[in-house]
Amino acid sequence: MMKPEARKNLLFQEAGGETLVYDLERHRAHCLDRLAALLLKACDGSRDPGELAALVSRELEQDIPLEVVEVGLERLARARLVSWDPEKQPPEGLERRKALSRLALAGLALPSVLTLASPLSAQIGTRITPGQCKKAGGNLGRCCTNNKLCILVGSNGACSGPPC
Amino acid sequence: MAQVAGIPFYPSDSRCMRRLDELPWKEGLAFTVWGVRLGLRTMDPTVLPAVLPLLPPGWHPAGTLRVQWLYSWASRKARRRGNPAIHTLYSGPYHMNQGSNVERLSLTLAADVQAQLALRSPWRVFVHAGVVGWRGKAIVLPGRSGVGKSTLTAALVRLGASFFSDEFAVLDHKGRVYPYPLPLRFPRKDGPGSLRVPLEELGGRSAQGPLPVGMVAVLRFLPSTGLRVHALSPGRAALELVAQAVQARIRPFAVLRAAASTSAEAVLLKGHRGEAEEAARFLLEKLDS
Repeated sequence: MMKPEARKNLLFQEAGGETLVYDLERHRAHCLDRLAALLLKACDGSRDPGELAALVSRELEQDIPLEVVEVGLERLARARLVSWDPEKQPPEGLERRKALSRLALAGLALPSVLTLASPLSAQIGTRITPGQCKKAGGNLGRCCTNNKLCILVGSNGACSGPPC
Repeated sequence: MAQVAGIPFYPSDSRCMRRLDELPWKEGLAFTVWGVRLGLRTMDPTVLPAVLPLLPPGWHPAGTLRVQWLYSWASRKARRRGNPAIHTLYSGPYHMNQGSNVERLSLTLAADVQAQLALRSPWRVFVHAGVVGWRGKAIVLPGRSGVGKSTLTAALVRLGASFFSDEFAVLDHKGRVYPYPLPLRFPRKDGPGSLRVPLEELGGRSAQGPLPVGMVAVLRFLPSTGLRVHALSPGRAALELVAQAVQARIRPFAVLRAAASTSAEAVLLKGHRGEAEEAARFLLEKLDS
């Protein structure tokens, strides 16, 4: 079984008790609650879900059951923030709803992951096309990502993703 | 800074740009706004006076003719005597528009200048939003075109709020918002395009200086409903701002930081609204309480 591992090329920003995560490869922004953020940061590929449950329980100073951690990992994996191949596939449909409501009835807060795709500049009315962005060369950034958009990351101007 | 006389230039390997460089340019202007240096070159001396009033607020002449993006306004005489001259507008090497209507081309140019500015500014984060100021705090209304930002912004201005912008919230890394007072734009009821209404016609006043953000309200106009709002958490409100940030893919770190700072201390709301005036009164009362 593969142990859960956080993907590379993620930017983190705290926002009032929650954590914003930006995926530099897929251009998705995510909002994670505290439990989901702790889980994501702890997923280094060396810990299995049981060890992660123990770790986050220590951090949060409350008992976090394995089922809650598995729901969190599943949500992080669905948002493509974590690579994880679970031993047992999570239940789908009605079974899944029943499992989640059982956890909720037990008074357990489930990890929350909210995702959105960051828009192309053209989608918010600027009419700058990705092609134009790419052809603008060094003026918009030194590098560009898989989908040919120029990108400049961080204050040091480090480049993320393969060069065009 | 003193204006440098001459024709601005943009170093480029593009074949189209080199061909444009060979045209007989007569006048030009290199200008800076929010840290972005842009240029315009023309063949017709009547063009610059028509374009200058449409440039973004706060522009000033650049100290150098080397620019980060160059607009080229080519003109040629009509083939038939008596017909108006034909103008062609290029944004960098890209053909944008052509025709004899200088006013229409000027508006096209102004819209693209705003877009380039929002995309390239190294100092500020541009979020598509309406913004007003109220008693020392700013109200930010993020949303794409068509969700009713301009109508709600105008309603807030009529109730006494100061006008920042109905196009972009210009944010710094501390979450303060800066005025960007272009004329308000409303969709035309009689056809495509938009109608520009100067602030004075609404009886409003322009804001001075930056303000901390006191409220972020993500409201969508739904004619059949009344006002229905719920509170947002800081993280989710920041995500709404990221969704409307022009530079989200280019400077994600700066955008995340500005969005998080903006939503840290503010009242955060999301929902639907009916009539703009009802929603405007509610927002002002909520910010006061």
